[in-house]
Amino acid sequence: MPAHEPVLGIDLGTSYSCVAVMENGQPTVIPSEWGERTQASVVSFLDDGRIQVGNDAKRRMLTHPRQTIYSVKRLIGRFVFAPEVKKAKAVCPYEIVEGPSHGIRIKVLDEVLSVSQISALVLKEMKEIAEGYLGQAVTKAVVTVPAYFNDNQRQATHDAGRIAGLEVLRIINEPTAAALSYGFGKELNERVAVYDLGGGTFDISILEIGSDTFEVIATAGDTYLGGDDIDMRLMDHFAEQFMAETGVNLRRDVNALQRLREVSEETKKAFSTKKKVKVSVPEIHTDADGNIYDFNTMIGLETFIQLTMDLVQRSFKVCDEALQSANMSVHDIDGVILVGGPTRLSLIRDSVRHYFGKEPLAGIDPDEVVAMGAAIQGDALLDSESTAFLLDVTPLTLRLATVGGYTEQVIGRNTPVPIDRTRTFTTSRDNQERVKIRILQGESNRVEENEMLGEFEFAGFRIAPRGEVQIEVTFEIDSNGIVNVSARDPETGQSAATTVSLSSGLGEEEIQASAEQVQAAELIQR
Amino acid sequence: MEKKFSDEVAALAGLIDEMSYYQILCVDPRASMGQIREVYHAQSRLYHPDRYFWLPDGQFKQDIYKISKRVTEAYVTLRDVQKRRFYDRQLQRSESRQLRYTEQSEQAQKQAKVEETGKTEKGRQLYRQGMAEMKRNDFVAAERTFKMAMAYEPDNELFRKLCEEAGGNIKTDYKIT
Repeated sequence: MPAHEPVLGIDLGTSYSCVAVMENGQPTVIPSEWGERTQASVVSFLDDGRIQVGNDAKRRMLTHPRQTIYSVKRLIGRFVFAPEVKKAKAVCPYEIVEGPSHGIRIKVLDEVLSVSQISALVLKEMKEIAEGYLGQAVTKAVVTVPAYFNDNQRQATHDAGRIAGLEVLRIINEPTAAALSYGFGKELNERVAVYDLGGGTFDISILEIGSDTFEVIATAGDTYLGGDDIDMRLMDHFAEQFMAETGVNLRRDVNALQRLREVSEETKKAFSTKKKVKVSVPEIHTDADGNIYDFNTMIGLETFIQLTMDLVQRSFKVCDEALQSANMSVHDIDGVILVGGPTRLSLIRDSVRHYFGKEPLAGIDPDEVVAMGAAIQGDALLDSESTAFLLDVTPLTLRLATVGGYTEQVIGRNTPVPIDRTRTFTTSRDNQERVKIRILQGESNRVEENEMLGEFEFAGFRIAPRGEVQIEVTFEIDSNGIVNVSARDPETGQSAATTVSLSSGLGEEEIQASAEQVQAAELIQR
Repeated sequence: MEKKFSDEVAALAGLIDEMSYYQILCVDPRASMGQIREVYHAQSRLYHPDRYFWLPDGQFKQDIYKISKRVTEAYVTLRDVQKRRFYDRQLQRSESRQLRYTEQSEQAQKQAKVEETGKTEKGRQLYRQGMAEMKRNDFVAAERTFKMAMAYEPDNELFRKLCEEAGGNIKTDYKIT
């Protein structure tokens, strides 16, 4: 038995989630009672007020599309005006509404829930599966996020853990977790690239593994690229085809669209082994006159590749970026780790082999490796004897808004963490009482092209003519990749009072209220 | 936690503002890029906050966090050829005791870069090429390029230094072996 209580490693995915724990010094994936090793990240609200999570809930996507919530990871920590949210509003059958301070809420059966709360229900299900397996209560977890997640998305994931009744010891990056799982206990000395194509996001990380030290050299990603996008391409293709054949627009039929989505996902999966796939959806649509339509077609691998090749190419542009940032070329990479369900596709595997000029590493389960890495990290954090440790980087440039809608870099992307950086500001008006700064994350010079993290206001310094007072503002990125900002008057050494506004996150009150609700909720057991 | 180590950590945290990046990383100022990386790993092994996560919060963890951030800062500065060169010069005229690479250093470096990158068109062009090669860790090419640059501007002190620096890095492979 380990000296400390168990820590769960949870891969909270866009489409599927997975939980693992250390057992006898080895990471072990915990299956559900029914032997399923991954659970759908889907939450369905029943009419009688009960809640169902996981693979059974996914089955309800067809029958109860308006009250079955999926792919919320695409929405977590985003503002209502983000392009991803607009896209989701157009295609999701459930209702997405605006919450306080431009946040997002989801309306189900007259209840309004935050995105963190939905994710919390998925985490609660994972926690319960683990507790059933371990036969004891579990309170601690390491949760993974895409490496390219910004601070808002990380904070919102952290909040989800708290709401689910879990102390999140650490938020770690999915590709980093995968590398940890691959290199753990192997005494390696090599450079690896982790190509992580998930349901909704793409990440590439380059790491240098030196026995038990895992140093991330560079990471890059696209939070708008994933397996779901491949499904969408197929879905669009099928809808077009159906329209051409029958004149009926299935995009206006919520139920038909759901079935088309399901069959698209199945078709995609079938292409990991087949060259041709037969698609059949009986009674997909009934028109106003009561005519019933079936959808039958045959699609070849070549068409599938044509439909999705640009998505795959986009991932390699991101790989170029990461290699450049690491000052490396593909020849410097000793091994390639594939992560995420879509990397099972021959289309992806072939392209990756071609790009890196080598066979991806075998024997790594792309659906389970991330949760296993998170379990290893959780154990390493609590075990005083552990020697394995991670040196990670911040994926995005931290910026300050300056005049005229421009920004200035404070901490560059791919800078190792933890780190801090201090800037000195001065007052611009006589007797100025407060100084306001806006903090952003992203790679653009322009304010509007970056993600807004928050607006900070400092007060409590000396009142004096303009330019006389200096305020030292320290920007800090901790080991969780979470940004902290503090200010002090260098003359007096006194720290200034800081208030944060314009944050997409939840207030403390909402977190507490959600936590009570979620922790009391009874999830349906089969 | 051994008392001896926690005392050391407390002392180090107190003194760290008086230490140069080389002192923080415990490395010779002439160390190669590969060595800088090695000592970064070694110092992280000692002072990374994750190594002491299991301890209760307190002064020790605060001290560790402070040291760890400074170790990262030292690494980030010294692994970058241009920043390191500027930092080294900053240390040499250190009557101001400026031991960190700060916002001011960054500004000053930008300014210096404009003034120093060559007096001739060809010199400036080769300078840019050589710096790009240094960035890629292609020190063999960089040395050759800076030698060529010196042919155009024989008394350019910067070109001579860069040429030496590139040459000094050739033998020490960037990759950990």
